Amino acid sequence: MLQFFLSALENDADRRKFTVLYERCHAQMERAALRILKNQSDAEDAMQNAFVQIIRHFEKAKEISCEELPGWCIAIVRNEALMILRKKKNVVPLEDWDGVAEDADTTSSYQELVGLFTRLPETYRAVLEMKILLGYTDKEIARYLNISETAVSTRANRGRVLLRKIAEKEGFQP
Amino acid sequence: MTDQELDALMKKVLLDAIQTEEDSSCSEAAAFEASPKYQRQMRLMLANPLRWVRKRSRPVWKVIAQRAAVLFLIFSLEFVCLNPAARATVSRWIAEQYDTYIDYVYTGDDRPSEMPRYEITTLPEGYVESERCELGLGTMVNIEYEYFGDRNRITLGYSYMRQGGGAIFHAEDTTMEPVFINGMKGELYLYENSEDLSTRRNAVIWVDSDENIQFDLHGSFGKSDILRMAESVSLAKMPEIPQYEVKNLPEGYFRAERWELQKTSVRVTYMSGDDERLQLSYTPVQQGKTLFTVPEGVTAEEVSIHGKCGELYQDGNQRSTVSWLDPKRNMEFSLSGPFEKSDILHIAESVSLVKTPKSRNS
Repeated sequence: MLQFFLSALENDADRRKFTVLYERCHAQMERAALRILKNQSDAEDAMQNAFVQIIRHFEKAKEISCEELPGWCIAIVRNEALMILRKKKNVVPLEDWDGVAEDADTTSSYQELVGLFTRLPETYRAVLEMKILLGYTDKEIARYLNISETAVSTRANRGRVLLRKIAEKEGFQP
Repeated sequence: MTDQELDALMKKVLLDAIQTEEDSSCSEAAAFEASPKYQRQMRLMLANPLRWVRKRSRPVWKVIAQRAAVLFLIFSLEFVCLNPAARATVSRWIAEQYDTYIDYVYTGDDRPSEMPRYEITTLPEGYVESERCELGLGTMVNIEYEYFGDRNRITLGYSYMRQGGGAIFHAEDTTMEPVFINGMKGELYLYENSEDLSTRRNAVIWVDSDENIQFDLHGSFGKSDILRMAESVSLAKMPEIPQYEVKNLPEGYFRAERWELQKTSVRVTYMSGDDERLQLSYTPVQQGKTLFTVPEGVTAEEVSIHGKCGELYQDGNQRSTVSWLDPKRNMEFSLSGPFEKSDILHIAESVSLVKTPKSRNS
């Protein structure tokens, strides 16, 4: 038996917001989960795990703007799907950061920058998404990805340094 | 570029990266064809997100327990050494503290027990009991008190402390204060910003080591009101509503939940190992009006349950529902589950009034 005492989702207004979030985002989330896992049953597991996370972090969800909400939800289900994939494969992927860093030198447009970030090694992107988009602490991320807090910090720093270098070179602004 | 600007740009790039992937894969992605089990889970989740998370959380608990982050005892070693009763309590109630929440972990021996019926006897004016739910095979009870206006609910929960059980309390932005509730050791969690009480609820958690029960009470009230309510928690003097049960449960089914709504209507849920549900609902007939009606567009068949008139129909998910009236007891029943006509009628025939638990004075 396990009982949760969450501060959010206790009132009808929160429950309505959650239903709106579900209606708005679930189709995109399901598509993302299925694209990564290529298996209906696994995708359903990823979806349910993602909604557990969303419910647990609903205080944060309430602060996300309407435009950013689908991306935020997809980031969560993507990471849940990758967790399932990793468990199934039972291997830790080799991650080539140097190749990405080299590509940074030839990145000149914003679209290329976005494309570069889609090619980030799996745990690097997961760390950045969890830290920047989802607001998890280093400790939470480390526990989630089963890597050390130092590894989390290294990945976050490398991501930041990479982005700063490109942004300052090309003059990108938020 | 400042760190804040860099983070803002990072956020934008990460979101655009997600969107780019989604756009490019839209046409090539296979269609997500949700299974009936998944659809049912989503319906349950939307109906009550917190309850749904609670039910799914046992595996998560196991993972957390294995990792055993920072363990600390709620009671000081000195107190434990001096007080044998406290030592017994500690053996059942330890806490693991994480960044934003605390796990209360029950470690004592399993012991089957019928849960007593507690209630808050000193409620703030205007609040009434709206829901009472027994979960976890009858070892956990949640009672909701509602105010018929725009105030937040008050929740009283109590759980039998047994091996493998526990409670998670999200303690972010709260301060903890040790308290005694009628002589029982507890912890009071108050939000640091009192303005938060418009949307959040303070809480007090305490343990009755004699009864082996952990209590928690949540409400958008200040310290003195929360403590007054906690101290008024007593055994209910008498059962409010008759209790019916299915006597002939199909093989593999067990009683999972019992909900009381407004102290009048009851829904008992039995589940099978593969997540199938059999639900019995009953409510007093009010002013001759029946609540359990056949959905529009569905053809019902007239049936007889112990000589009483009823209706039977099947929905699109191969679930049969039978509803009937018992004029003698002025009670209306509904039973639904994934069964054929003969089976659901057989189960319905076995619905009986069970002995209500004896009341005890506190």
